[in-house]
Amino acid sequence: MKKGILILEDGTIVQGNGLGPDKLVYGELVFNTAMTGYEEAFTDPSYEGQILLMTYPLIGNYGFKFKHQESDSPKIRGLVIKEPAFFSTNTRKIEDYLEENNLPCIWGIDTRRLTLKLRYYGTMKAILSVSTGNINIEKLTKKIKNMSHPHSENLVRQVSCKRILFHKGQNKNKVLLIDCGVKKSIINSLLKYSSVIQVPYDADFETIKKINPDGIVISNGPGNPAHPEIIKTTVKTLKKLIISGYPVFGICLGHQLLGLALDLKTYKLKFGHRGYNHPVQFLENKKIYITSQNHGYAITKESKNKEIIFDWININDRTIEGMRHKSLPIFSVQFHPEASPGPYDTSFLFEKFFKMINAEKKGY
Amino acid sequence: MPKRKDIKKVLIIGSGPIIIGQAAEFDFSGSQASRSLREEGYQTIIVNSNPATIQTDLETADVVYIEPLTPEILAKIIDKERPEGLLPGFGGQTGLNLSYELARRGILEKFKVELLGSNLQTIEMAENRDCFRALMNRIGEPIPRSFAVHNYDEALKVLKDMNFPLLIRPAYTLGGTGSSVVYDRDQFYDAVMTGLIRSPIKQVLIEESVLGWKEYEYEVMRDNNDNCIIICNMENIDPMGIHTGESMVVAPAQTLTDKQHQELRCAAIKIIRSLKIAGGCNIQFAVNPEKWEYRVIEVNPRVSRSSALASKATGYPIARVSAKIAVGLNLDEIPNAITKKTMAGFEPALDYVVVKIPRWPFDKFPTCDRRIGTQMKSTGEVMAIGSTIEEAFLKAIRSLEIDKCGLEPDNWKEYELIRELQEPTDRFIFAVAEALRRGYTKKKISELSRVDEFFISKIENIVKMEKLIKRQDVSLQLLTMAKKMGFSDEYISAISGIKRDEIMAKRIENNIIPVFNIVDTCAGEFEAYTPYYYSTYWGEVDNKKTRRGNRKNILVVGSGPIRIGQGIEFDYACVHSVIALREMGYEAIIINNNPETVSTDFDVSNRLYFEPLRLEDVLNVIFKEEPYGIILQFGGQTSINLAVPLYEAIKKYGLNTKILGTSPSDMNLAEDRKAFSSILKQLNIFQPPFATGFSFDEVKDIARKIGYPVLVRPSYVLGGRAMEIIYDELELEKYVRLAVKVSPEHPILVDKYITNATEVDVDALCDGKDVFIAGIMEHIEQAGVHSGDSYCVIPPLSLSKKTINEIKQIVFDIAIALKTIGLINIQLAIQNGTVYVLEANPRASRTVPYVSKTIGIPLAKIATKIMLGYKIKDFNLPAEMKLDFVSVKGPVFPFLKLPGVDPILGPEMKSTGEVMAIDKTFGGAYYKAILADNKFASSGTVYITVRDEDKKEIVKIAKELTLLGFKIVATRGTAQFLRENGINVETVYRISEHKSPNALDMMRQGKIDLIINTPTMNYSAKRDGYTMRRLAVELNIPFITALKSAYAEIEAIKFARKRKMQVRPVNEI
Ligand SMILES: Nc1ncnc2c1ncn2[C@@H]1O[C@H](COP(=O)(O)OP(=O)(O)O)[C@@H](O)[C@H]1O
Ligand SMILES: Nc1ncnc2c1ncn2[C@@H]1O[C@H](COP(=O)(O)OP(=O)(O)O)[C@@H](O)[C@H]1O
Ligand SMILES: [Mg+2]
Ligand SMILES: [Mg+2]
Repeated sequence: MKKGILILEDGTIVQGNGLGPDKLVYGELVFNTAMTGYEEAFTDPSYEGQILLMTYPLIGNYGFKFKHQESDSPKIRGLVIKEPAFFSTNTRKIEDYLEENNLPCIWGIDTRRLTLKLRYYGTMKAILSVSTGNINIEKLTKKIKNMSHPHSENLVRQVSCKRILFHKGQNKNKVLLIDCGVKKSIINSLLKYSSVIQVPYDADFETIKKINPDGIVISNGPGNPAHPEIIKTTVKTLKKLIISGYPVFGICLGHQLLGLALDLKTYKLKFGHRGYNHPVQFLENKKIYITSQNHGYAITKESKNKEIIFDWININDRTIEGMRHKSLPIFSVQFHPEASPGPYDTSFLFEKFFKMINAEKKGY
Repeated sequence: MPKRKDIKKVLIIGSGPIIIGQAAEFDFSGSQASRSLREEGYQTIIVNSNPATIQTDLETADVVYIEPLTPEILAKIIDKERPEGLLPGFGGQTGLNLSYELARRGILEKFKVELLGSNLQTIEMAENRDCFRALMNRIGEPIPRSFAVHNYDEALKVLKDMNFPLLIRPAYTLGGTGSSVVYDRDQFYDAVMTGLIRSPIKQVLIEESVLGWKEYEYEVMRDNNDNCIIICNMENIDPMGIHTGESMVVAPAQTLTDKQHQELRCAAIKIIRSLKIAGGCNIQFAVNPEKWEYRVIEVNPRVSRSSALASKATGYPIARVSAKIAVGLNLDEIPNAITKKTMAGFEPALDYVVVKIPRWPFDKFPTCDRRIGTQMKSTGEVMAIGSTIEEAFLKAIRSLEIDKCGLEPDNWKEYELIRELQEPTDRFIFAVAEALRRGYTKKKISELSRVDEFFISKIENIVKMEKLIKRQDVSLQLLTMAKKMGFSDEYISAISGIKRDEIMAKRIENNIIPVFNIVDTCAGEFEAYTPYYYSTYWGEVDNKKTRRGNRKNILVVGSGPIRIGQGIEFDYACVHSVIALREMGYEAIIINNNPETVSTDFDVSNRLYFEPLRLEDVLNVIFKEEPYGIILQFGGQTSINLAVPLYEAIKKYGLNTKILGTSPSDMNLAEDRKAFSSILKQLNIFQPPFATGFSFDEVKDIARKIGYPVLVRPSYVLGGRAMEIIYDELELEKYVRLAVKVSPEHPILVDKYITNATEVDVDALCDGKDVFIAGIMEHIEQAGVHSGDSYCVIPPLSLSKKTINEIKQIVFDIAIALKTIGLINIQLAIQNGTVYVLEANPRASRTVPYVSKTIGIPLAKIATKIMLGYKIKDFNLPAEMKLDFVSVKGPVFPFLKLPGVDPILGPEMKSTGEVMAIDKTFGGAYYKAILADNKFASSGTVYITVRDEDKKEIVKIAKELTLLGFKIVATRGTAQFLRENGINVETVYRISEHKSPNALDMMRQGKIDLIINTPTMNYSAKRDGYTMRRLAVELNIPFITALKSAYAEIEAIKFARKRKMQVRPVNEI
């Protein structure tokens, strides 16, 4: 039986069973409370740089299917669960999936206890090692102390597309998608209304202008929105796009980047929002929507821009969940209207975006 | 939206007595709703005929009525109380149908009462199967092809373009009453006809079958701002065709992909919006296991059995929130009582698995058809929480208390095993395990049973572990694995042959003990304030004890699943004990496994442990809590049976705790026949002669010695299981051959049966010195009908002053002799003046709530205080109980739901629930009690057939009935005798004469309104009467099996004729 060991920056050492390849990975340990959609989660590029703990104890119940993937492969660096379902009738079993995707997993441990730790002290740097042989714990414990936080890397570059991609859509609309690590289902949601031109996160203003899109979507993605390389590229471009009056729709990281481009500030949440039971309220009509979320940063309530209205909030911790520009055709949300995994409560936002685009075309 | 100011008083209709399909869950939701509304400053009025409910306590509601649940009575109450609002959705199907009826009759309009939560249209659209069909078609939700019909001709027309098998589903029923699967025309006819009888609006749905599809339930909540959330979804392990109430259920759903779950979620929300329900509702889906498609099966526009389960499974208080929504609040305005910080508008996330298994009453009804289907047969259920399905599953099995600690098989022949898999019974899951042991593949089993292979694989894991334990000597590693899989020491011991104590010692030595996790609704994401725990072996144990200052904590052991003989009464007593403890400033801790009950509500106790009630599991909690004391008196036989083992464990492990109240050794004196009778001898109190036989011959000799009729039974049982009255040696042989095995390990107890005796129940309090006699209950039926099954009355009707004093003395002497600290219940039989003691139970009895409510003194609370050192004199209780009214307790029976069961009454308890009724006169109270079970005839034709001993007596009764204008028909013997005594009567053929018109024909033609049948107590005669009694049940014709009941019935009829019913709130008692 393989061993699995998880070591946290605070010195916590958790020993359990190992599954998947013999491998040592390093990342930020975060937890997700969703009870279904594990494969969607594993393959969500926003998890780049992270080791994922699933609070739901049984993972792999209904196997793994390509159509559940949100990108071409798992983006999490390691997996922490209580019990893998060593069973599946007609789909790929978890052990095969992990092997095929070179994804190490530790299981059979007290995941709740870890979750409470993260809730209490906040997310932590962690090393996950799966091995048939022995693992040198002391060495790793020392090592992790002086490893720099994954968010110091430019994680977006690792998951953004490298060249421009074109997706043919339902009608003649044409939106440009700035890919910071986009989930498939965002593209699919857009394709219902329009063609999609997917550009790398660092595509410059001129390139985009040449394409001359009807509107612009900034996708979800991993890491710190205020990362210097992102500020220099994506945020810089966004500032220009905003001034040029393009209709803009930001999702998750996209929402945060838009915030930065609008001179708002972002900060790191203690342990973030990861799951699909997060209640948000649209202040205009007081309605509650249950949303899918996956983010570690948020826009600060305090930061000000007279032009911006924060029109969505999280009713659990009152954090900002969305905003719109008073005069320009710009809005964004911190949560995931494309769901996958999670509820479709807010999928209407895509329609809203295209209504806005058409209004713009008609020039009101 | 702020809460409504235009409403001040709200009426909540309860669900009445416990019946199959409607158990304690509605006391739970009703009480929670009432508390929730009062919290918001509303006044609540609760009406319920069931005294054993927390909701009928004056602490729960502002005004309480214990009255029959009929539209007439409710109209009276509404007139008297003038509430502005009515909550229809908290009293189960009963409450819903009554509210609907009140609205339909214009009573609500007349008194300006508004239906809150679900209005008339909503109820109509959801419950009327035809309207529901139409609605689903309109909003484009798929349902099985179906037609609603109102008579057989319509049904036949429909049949033309449908093919078998078909589902027959009556409208406005519960627990699948009257619904069935039919495979041919004959079955079709019967099913449609019964269905039409069962449906209050005479409507049945004839529906295409989706048998074998997977069944899912969604608990949805909607507020006044159209916000919708899913509290929980649940997956039935059993396929469609097995009622959700009969299915083993897992929460959350296990085998749905996210896309599929979200699709059902959207459908659920679409449906609740289209029905405009404000509050919680339950939606059932069928899902095709082959390719992705689903059908909507039904919606219950109210809190339901499932929502109670969902509440306990997630920690989300559905009833509490639904009630607040009903008075105008919205989800973003209601705080989440669990996390305090967050709001009610969110969806719970689970980091554990929940398993529910129903508890069936077949142990009481050997003749019953055990197969489970679309109609409920279970009386209760257990829930278990674990980290994995296996762990939760084995905990649930332990909790059932069916003498199984794991998946022990019966010894099935091959074909029997296969039948078990194809036509499941209560033994299904054990059959699956056995099939796996015999080498059946998961696939094969799944094909036979239509159960998803995923779940079978979980059973397989357990079976594999069994094998490992059998083969190897149990290493620490294996032990750990087994415990993680939910194996109890008992189970491991049974398989490995190692002693249970050894295994336990080894575990504790090596720190293989469970951790206790909190059910917090959010998988640990937020801090939780509900002290609601479950144990699991999947956690890291930290041995540092959580010291709780010097405050004293006391553990109250609950009563487990609701079953015949141990119903909600015991949960009621436990809850009262908890309340008393908290009043005294103790920390009250509950351990129980019944998801329906108030005792497992999140804020009733200081700490709740949702656990099996086996020694090991209770000890785990005791180790964790180190309680100052343990209370076992209120959990019925479940907790009493723990007394001695716990007592020994406490000594063995030197635990710093003690069992409060009457000492286990003294309890044992009462249970142990020999010891008890020697006590009685010393006190020279009479007892029916008895002896114990360890072989058949011995039993025969004893019977001859003490003389027939005798009453035989295995010792140590509650509810008179396998108990029989035997009239001669021939029957004795039959009984011993069929009913029980007799051996040195299984002795049979033989009592002289005291014939034509009046039975009396007494509940009393004792502090070791003083005794307070709380209630002397005279039974209407003669001794021989189980105390739980007979009507009884306070104060006694026919007992002489002398007898009553004698009884009081006896009770006093026994209570003192047993050194009783707390409650004691004593049953006596009075045969022309002589008082015999039948049994004494030094614990809370079934009748504690009834007596408490009758005399207005909370017995369980006082008992608890006595156990903690108070004396009886501290409560200045009255020396004499003076009542200005008569209080009757009436039983309610499950016969309709249990084909093959003879509705005849005997020493075996058969009733599921009880009602209480009060009035100035006995006739009035008895009448109300009958109404509460709604079978009553105040005029018409009475069919009389009695055994010879009763012929003389019956003449008086017949005369009375004639005077009351009843037409009398009788079988030849009885008829002749009556004629000779100047009563004109029509003769009908005996059933055995096979000529027409016989009684059955007349009953079918609706020509019989009342039956008086005192059966001759031998097998053959029983069989003869059986068909008739059975038919009476099916046709809902009231029938009387005891002469004294006949007199009582006449009193009731006279009352019904002459006088109007009065309603009187408990507050005024
Ligand atoms: N069309 C059908 N095909 C197969 N089984 C069905 C069908 N309709 C209902 N059932 C089964 O009958 C059970 C009882 O039906 P339901 O309408 O839920 O009765 P109740 O209102 O008493 O809950 C369901 O739980 C389901 O298992
Ligand atoms: N010796 C007896 N003579 C007449 N009836 C009896 C006798 N013993 C028991 N019964 C009847 O059987 C019923 C059940 O017996 P009991 O000892 O109370 O069993 P349980 O423990 O189930 O309550 C009693 O309520 C009473 O009606
Ligand atoms: Mg149902
Ligand atoms: Mg129903």
